[in-house]
Amino acid sequence: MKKSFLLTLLLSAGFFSVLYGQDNYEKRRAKMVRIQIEARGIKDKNTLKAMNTVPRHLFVPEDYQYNAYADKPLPIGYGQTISQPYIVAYMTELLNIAPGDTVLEVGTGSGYQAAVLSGIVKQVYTIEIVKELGISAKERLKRLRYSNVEVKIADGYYGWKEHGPYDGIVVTAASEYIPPPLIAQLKDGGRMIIPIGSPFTVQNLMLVTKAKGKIITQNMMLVRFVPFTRE
Amino acid sequence: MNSNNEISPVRTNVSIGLISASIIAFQLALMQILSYVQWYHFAYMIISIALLGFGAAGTFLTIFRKYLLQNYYLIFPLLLFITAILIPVVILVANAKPVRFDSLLIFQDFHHFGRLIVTCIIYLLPFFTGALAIGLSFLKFSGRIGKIYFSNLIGSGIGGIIALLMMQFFIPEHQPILIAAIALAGGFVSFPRHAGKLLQSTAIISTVVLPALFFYPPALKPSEYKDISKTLLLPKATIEYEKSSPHGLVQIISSPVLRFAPGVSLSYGGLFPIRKAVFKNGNWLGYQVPASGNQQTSILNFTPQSLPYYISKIDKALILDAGTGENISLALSHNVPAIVANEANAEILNLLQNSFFGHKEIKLHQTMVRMLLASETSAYDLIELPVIGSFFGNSGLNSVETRYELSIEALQEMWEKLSTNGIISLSCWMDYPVRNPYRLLSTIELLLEKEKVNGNNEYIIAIRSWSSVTFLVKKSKFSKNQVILTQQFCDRLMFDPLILPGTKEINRGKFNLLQDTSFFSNTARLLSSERNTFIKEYPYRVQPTTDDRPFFFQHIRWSGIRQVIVSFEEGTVPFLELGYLLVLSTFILLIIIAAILIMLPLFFTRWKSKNKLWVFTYFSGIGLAYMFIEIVFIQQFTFYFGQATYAAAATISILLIASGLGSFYSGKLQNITKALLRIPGIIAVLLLLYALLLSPVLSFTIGMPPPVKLLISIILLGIPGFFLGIPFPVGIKHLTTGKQDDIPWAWAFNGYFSVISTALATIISVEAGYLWLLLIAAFTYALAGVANSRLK
Repeated sequence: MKKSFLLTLLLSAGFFSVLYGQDNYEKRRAKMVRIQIEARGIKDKNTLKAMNTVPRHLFVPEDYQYNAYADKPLPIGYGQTISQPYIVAYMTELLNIAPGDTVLEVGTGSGYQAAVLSGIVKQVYTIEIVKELGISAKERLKRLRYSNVEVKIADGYYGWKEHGPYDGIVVTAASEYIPPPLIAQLKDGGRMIIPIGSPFTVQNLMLVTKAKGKIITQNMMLVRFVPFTRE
Repeated sequence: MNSNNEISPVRTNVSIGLISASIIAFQLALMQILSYVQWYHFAYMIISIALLGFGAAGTFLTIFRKYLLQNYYLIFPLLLFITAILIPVVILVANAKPVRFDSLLIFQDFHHFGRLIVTCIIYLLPFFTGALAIGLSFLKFSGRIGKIYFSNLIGSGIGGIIALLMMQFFIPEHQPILIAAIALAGGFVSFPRHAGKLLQSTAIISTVVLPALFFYPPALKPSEYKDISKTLLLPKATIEYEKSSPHGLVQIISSPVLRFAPGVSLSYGGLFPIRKAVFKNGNWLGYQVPASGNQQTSILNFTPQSLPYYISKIDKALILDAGTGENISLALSHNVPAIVANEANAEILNLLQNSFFGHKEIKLHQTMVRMLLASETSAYDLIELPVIGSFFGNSGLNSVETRYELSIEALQEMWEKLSTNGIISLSCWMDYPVRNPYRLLSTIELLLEKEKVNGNNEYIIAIRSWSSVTFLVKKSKFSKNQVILTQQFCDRLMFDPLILPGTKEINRGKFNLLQDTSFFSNTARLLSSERNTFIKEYPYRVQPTTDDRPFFFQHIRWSGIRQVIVSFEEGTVPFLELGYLLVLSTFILLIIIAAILIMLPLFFTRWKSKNKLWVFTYFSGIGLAYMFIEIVFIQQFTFYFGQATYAAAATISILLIASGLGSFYSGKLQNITKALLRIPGIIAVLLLLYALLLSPVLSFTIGMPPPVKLLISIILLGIPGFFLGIPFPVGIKHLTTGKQDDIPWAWAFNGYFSVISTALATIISVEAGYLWLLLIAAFTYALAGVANSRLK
């Protein structure tokens, strides 16, 4: 009798601690969206909803889960980072995507950006060149039931021609060039976002737009930053 | 037993020389290793850690003095054997997964800060044991301190040369083991007749462990955030070439996904060629560029850097810091008949020679930019530097790197080498917050002002791509035709004119828009009479750099930090100037560790002295100033020789050997009090003279043949070096006569201030310049002299 009572007590404690933990993460996520994202001017409802839904703490290494909703990028191994929540939201809003759209992501990383996008668009295709990262992201997205995300381990330079053209492309692994195949796979009127910056300091976003065959780049120095002028 | 175990003074001196050599060689090898696995900033940390080892050893000696002295002939070799084991073992432990830290995570994850502290303590150990052996000998033979100090300094000087040789012939993994063998040899030289079991077994263990580690060396894995680590994750990435030298470890990696297209125009329709990538100390250096390719096919003609070739006829080009040869390849694609280029790194130069083999129009020099500019007498139609900065931005990791090729004096020398219609081409990657383009432009503007060029704007053209900015400065005014050609070049390649006569505001952002258009207004301010006001107001340092403060990538200024924090989150601020903050934080960390290890234990001992203030002022002053002088001399002679590593090693070695001779001479001095009064004064006057004359003398003789320059260096370094070697042994000798209780404190003060002096010297040179560093050193010696005049 005593044993079964103790067992019930332990199980209940475990259940409530898990429930409390979940609840705690949800609260932190809501706070993250409110303070870090909405307050800085992100207005797109779909973006806000997706950011509020995706459990970011499940996309970071266990050691960093306590910091998952902090206002900063975090290391995910292999020299890669998961972007600061605001950057993810800003890039998502900047893509100007709608529920019926198809999006390509180059550089899956932990899979977090793909998970956020999957809550907004019809289909997300994502490519990762680092095998180990690609495999773990694929398993994670499957486990968390993001069924409209497809992961491929390949060289992102060539894009994913079979599913293009895309309404939006996110290139999270910036290099010294913008691959011509990606520009080719962008729909007319589509947008490509490339974040530029060293690890932990992604502050500068490059927006590439394609309109009537003309390519225009725009350096998006983020709105929340005060421009350095005293005029 | 001790008398039976005594060894001859010659054996003692030789073994002190050997342990000193191994300590200095290990210090240099460790600096190289940390530059590879982390970044070069930790070079400063290693110098301080080595000095901390000496300071901590002094304190240890104080506490256990009696026991250690009684057993000197057993403990001395024992310490040498332990040092021999520790040298490779600390590398092994510090690079093990639970211990190793990552520079980029120090400000991100507190655990890594903890690991940094642990690493400092681990690396301290061999320096501590080695220094303990040396310090114990100082104490044991204080009567003949001059000769002992002489062996120590001569050994250290030779250790520097040994380190250079090891770097040339052995991979970084093997170097510590070979260096440990020197300490091991010292152990055997001082091996007593009656060794105890502990000494015998330590000798056996170290003799067995070292060969074993040579065949199974500790693996050195660079930070996962280093360029090489990321590149090695690419499919089928293979290290095809690896060569160590005193300039660093050069590696070449191939992968089928390594594409060469450095910031090319979006109008480029061809395939991006696959190229091998070259790394130095794990940092990206560039792609291996072949000589083939003509104007039509060369991808480099789709970059802003190709503009000079479209608007001007280039018959003679000076390609500075050629690196892997991108700018040479560009010049070749335009059939430039005469190309002169430099590359300081012998290994990279070797790669260049292979890449451009058979091209007689290319003349390559193994030297640094300023040396080449000083020796070249021809006039050039184009002088070009590689693209400045890095594409991704690198969190300010280069902020304490000296860049003499970008100082105002360098630009003035380039200007002198231009033909009548010659052009200087300077490009940089766009950064945000914008710093490098502003600094380049402010330097160009100052150049034109110094050269008394009126109507500056007609001498500058600047264009902007999606990723970089290129500035052209011409010796004569740009012609109307050149302006039209630039506009056509921009339209064809989707670039935007930034500074181009007649360009309307709207056309500055036709292809590459900016959300923050203050870039344009700030550029306009830099071109106007408001330049100095803008430079003063901008939250980052963007004023031109000088040879005295050649830190082109050091942008943070304390007065602007508040505005930076307002603009960015506090958490990301460290990553704007990580390099400088790493120096600052290791400085603070070492102040604390040194205080705990050197000073704190002494407070538990009773110190009765009538000369406390003197002991503090004199020994802390000479500890602080010596390193300041060394840093200034390394900087000046690097510039003089055009070879960073060799110049640094030569400077340190000459200084140490001269100081060794000085300390040897000090042993012969009869009147110590007189020496204490005069020597600091002589040094102070010498330093003031050097502050005035060294730079002009070096500039005047820079073009002389290398043997003459070496002789000049020996004289210029030898004279102050000789005198610098005297104050410490003379001071100690003074204390041996009835003031022996002061010796540990003297040693501790000297050690403590030596530890903090390295990082402090860097901070002062960044904030005030090298001249101030020399003046502060002169003042410190003068102060020591004044303190001596009041000696009781």
